[in-house]
Amino acid sequence: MYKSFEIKNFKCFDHLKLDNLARVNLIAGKNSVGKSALLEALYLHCDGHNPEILSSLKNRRRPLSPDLKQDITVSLSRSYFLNFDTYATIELIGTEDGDGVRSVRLRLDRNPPQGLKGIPIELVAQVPGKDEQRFHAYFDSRRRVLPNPPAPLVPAEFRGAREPIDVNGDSKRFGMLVKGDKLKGGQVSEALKSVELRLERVELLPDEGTYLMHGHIRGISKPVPLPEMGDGILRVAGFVIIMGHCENGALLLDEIENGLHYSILEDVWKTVAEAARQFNVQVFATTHSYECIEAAHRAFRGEHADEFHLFRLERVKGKIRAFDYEPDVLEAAIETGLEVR
Amino acid sequence: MADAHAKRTAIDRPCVVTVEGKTDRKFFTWMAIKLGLDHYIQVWPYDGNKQLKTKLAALATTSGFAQVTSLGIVMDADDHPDRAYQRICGALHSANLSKSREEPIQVDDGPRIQVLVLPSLDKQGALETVCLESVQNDPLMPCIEKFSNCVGKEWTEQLKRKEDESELLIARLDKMRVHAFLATRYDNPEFRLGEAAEADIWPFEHEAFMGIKAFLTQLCGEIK
Repeated sequence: MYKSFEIKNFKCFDHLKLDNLARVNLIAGKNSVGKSALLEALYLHCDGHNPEILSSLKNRRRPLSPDLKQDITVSLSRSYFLNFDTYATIELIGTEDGDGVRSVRLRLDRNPPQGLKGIPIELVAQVPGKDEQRFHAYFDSRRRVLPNPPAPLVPAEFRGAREPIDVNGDSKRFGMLVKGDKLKGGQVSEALKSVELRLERVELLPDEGTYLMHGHIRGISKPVPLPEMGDGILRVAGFVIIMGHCENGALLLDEIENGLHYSILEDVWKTVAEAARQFNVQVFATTHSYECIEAAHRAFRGEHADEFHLFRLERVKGKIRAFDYEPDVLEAAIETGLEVR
Repeated sequence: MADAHAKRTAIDRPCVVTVEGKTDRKFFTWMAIKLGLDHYIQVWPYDGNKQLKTKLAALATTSGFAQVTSLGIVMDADDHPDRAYQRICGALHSANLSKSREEPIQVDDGPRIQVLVLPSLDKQGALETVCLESVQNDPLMPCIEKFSNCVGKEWTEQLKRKEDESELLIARLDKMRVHAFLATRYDNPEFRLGEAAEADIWPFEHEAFMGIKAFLTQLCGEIK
């Protein structure tokens, strides 16, 4: 788990440091203060040695043509650097539980290999106790010409704010988790009761040539495919399933409240907290919603207060700063009607 | 649950004056308008002086506060002006808004700080005490004084019987005098000190308000 995370020269961040990271971290702030960019920086750092993530991140922001998915140009790469300054070095530094300080540096590769496609950025990974390692992603006719990077150091999943829900993918993951005895169908249905009280059980059933999660609903004789039950159900199911999938890692959720009615948010946070504990996942979520912040505060109040932390990003004198809310300060802010978004 | 649809307070002016409650907010907002400083001053009620440190820390993390250049803290002296001053200084220090626990000293990158204890640092009372001073020549004030003296004697006896010295007698009597004074003019029991300010009842030009005017003017001094 990250204890602190520091960003230099990445996108809108000159220098940002988040201390006091908890198991569940909520990032608030106005538009264009870097909430999503912060998740992107974390995603890059979690993997630790794969520059290809840069193209997948780019594709989340704006769908790229199939060619560009492997070949982001120098011009597209510029947008990762603060003020498009490609002479700067991007630095991402994480302090992790027990593992010390790990850094990832990114710089523009000014001499990319001739005749190859790829991402003109060199990634330099520094893991405590080891020599620096350099990684590139260049391709020849869609075949990687350099060895594949090792597995991510911190298994991470990123759910973007505008990404469609991957029902088939989540169903497949659900099946794998149930088969591996990491998740019980009843556990997901318990989590989904905040959205659909009548839900008794979730199971994977064949559906139109594939396998899909279905819900057994009290009063309805046949199981109902989960997508027929609405986006809220799918979103919450996805949170639990994806945490099972990135056990001992990190879950990055952009605009967590999307598709969820305010009245269920406290229960959703409790579900997220429980799954995060069970699978030892650290959660980083962003929000624009006051209800979402207040619901999180209520969900974690009391014995779980130290498992939740709110950060608010704000542009001050041209630079993004993080404001850190201790639980009692957040309580006072909510009680006295202060703006925390 | 707080009302999610209620307007949340973000800071959007360079000077912030924090006051004890909603009544004080109305009064200080009126003062700022009369002084032509309302474009510079935002008045925020911290809602009682308990947990002031946490409330100031919450204010300091609020959207827009990082742009604030001056912060004024106002508190009633009640029966102990020195205690009120020390409470503010301690809270400012704990909220990382002052370098010292004993006196308000601006921190690096923080706003200038000013403290106002009402009616003053050497007098017991509250904002009500200042307002009463401004209407002391009103022809009905002697009647209110007689009523107040009578009530005051009875309250003092009650406190002696309870052996309770923590009661805030001076400030409480002044609050009652203000209610009585306003009751001589308006039959609406909801009409309190703050509403009286909004209705221009208090004589703005009176010298009783000099200290408050100076406080607000100095707070905006470098910005205007």
